[in-house]
Amino acid sequence: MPSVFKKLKHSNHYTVLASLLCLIYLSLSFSTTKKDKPYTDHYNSLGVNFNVQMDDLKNEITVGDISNQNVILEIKRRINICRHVLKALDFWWRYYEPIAYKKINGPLLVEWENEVFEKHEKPYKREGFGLSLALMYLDEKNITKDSLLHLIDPAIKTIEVFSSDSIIQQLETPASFFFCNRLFLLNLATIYTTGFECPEDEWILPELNFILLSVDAIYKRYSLQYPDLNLPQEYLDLFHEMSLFVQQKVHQNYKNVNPLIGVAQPKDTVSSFDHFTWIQKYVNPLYKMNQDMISKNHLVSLSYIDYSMNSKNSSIFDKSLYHAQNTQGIFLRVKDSSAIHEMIKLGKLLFYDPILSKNNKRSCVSCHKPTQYFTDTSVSTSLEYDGITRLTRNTPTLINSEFNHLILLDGKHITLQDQLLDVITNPKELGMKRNEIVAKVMSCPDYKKAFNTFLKYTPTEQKITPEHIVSVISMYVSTLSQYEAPFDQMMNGTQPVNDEVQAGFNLFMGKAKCGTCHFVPLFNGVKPPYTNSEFEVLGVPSDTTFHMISSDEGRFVINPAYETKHAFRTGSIRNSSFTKPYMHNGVFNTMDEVIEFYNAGGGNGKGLIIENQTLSSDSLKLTVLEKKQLITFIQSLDEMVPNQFPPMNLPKSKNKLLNNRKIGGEY
Amino acid sequence: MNIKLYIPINKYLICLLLLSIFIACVSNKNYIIPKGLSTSQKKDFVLQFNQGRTLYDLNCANCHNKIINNKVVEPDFTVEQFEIYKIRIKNEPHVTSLGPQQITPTEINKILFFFINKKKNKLNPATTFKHID
Repeated sequence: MPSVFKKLKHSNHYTVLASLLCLIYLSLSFSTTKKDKPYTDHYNSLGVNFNVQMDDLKNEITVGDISNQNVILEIKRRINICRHVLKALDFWWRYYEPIAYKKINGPLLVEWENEVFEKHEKPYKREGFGLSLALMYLDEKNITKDSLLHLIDPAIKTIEVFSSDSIIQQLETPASFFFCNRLFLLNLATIYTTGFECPEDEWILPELNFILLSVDAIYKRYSLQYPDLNLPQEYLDLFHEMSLFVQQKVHQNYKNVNPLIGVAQPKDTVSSFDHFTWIQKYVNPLYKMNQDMISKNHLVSLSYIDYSMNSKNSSIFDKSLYHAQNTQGIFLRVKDSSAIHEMIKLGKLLFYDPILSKNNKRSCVSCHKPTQYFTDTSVSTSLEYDGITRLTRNTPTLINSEFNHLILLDGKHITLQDQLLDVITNPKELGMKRNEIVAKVMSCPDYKKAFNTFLKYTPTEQKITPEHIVSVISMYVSTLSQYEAPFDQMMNGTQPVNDEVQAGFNLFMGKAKCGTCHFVPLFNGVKPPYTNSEFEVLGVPSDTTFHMISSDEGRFVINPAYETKHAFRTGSIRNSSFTKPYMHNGVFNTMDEVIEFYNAGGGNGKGLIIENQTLSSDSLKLTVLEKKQLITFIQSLDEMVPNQFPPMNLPKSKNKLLNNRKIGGEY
Repeated sequence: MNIKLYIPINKYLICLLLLSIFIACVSNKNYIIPKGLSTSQKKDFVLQFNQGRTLYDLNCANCHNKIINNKVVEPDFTVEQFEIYKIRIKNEPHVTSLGPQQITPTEINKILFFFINKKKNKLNPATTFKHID
């Protein structure tokens, strides 16, 4: 079977294709001795179909006269057919070969890669290819065949990757089905309903409807091929109910439901879709049942895209969903809970201890105030080490920082421990020298004793290193990120649903388009399979007069490129009621200002000229009531983090000069 | 009195024994220091190598060490076999024991450093080691 894909690749003749298809059909109908594989066959025949359609599309582009408007319409129609067939393959292809898949269903903008499995490499540019881009290109002026083929050719070349032996082998065993299904379900909660990769908002629902029909067909064939390891009936029933939920919406909203994507004419916009019910009633329970199948049957994913996922997690709205940072640092392998408890205690002590600063007057607490959700709500940007100048960026909250793959707003660091060391040794922050940290901390007998008992947990080290010190701090900080918000409880059914919150969430995912960058459930820039941290250019001004863009170049400092100038990592909106002021430079003091900024279309919408802005400059046209509902929803994401009490005293040092330290520092 | 005397001697003996084992281990070093390194670079090299070996012992030795002629033999792995995000999913035991919550990429790189610099086995690896690929 696999070779069929490849053979077809170079052929443009319908007769050859038709005969080959007949041959496949015949070979299938006569292969009575071979065990039936309806699931694998379905995969292969959809792949063949896609290849045929893509070749037809290419043929149309090569032969046709693209100055003729009818030819353009025909090309568009063919692209839509290809997109349609692709939606049926999305279930598998996105999981089996995520990188190759992006050549067919590419990012709408140039993407600088920073997925978790690549984050140790230098970022590289991923040009957009594929069908959606080609479709958008057709609406531009002075299009050329070469440019159009440049978008389509890489997609065609990529198809054969999906018929590789390793993928076929995975289809021949049941396990990977459940991982494909998991990714599919997570995407239902995040990207399929928000228009993340849909060129027109009106197509979201018809496309979603088609995806559900295609997946239903996959489920049926899977259960025929693997009757012994099937999805429970309860799952299939709920899935059916979910499909009806979308179908009803499509029938209500569209005048004539043409099966072809891109033709359906809407009566209404997609904003009336109830995203809250969709996730709470259908997607999340289905996800839980699929996770149960994975853990009950000890299934193991052999895909690098699943690094972050936790097979024991049972709700999308539980913080154990994915793993982004090693919060234990050098103590990674410590399992003993009493030792961990001691380390956290020590970490907290160091968090408040100005011994980590050069002048013994500043600590972590100086900027990350425990009484203010571990940020400083009183200033746009905090004081530098000199006590006079201001830093250029707003102090971020530490809560939930562990759910980022790249740390700091420009993604400078890949681990929390590197970031901690950076702050301690940054001359503008705590101003220490790396080689002085250990000696200074160890001058306190209490610290020395504690760290020496922990040394046995790090067999690769003969003595205490700066990594030991920052690791206990990151362990303490991690304890702040384990709390849930009322919104999580509503999603998990442990708290009654509030109508205003529900309306706000539906706006967030629909009309206000927030959900296309702030993904469920952390509402940060980490989307399924939760392996990346995304950056956006919003055009945040230097002050509220909107005369100029903030001079901070953001990601550009780390990875200089046209696309990264003024780009910042998408932050979480959790706890934002408590973490003002907002944006990288703290320019907005209220949530209303932030929403007004987005409503206007970011910097461009406010009259600035930012060529590479990734936020649409069109107004969202939100009403006063809608803005209020959005804020109510955002407030429901405030986590119930308990008050932190400072330590009673700090360990005494043998160096008497160090014994005047104030708990938390002096400024 | 006698007992009191014995305790320090015992301690001393144990220390001596440990020291001799340590010296034996160090002298029987399993690495080749690249030429042209300064003294501090050499020190750093040995530190890195030993860290890599410890991590190998902790995470890999259980499955990958072989006993041949009553001797423990460590396999020779190549750089190509060591792509961080592929090694984690090479097979099912790797998925469960080499996840990001069990070992960091930095640590995997240290193990790679150990493999690059360790003395290769004299035996033909093709005939003595058959690892799951």
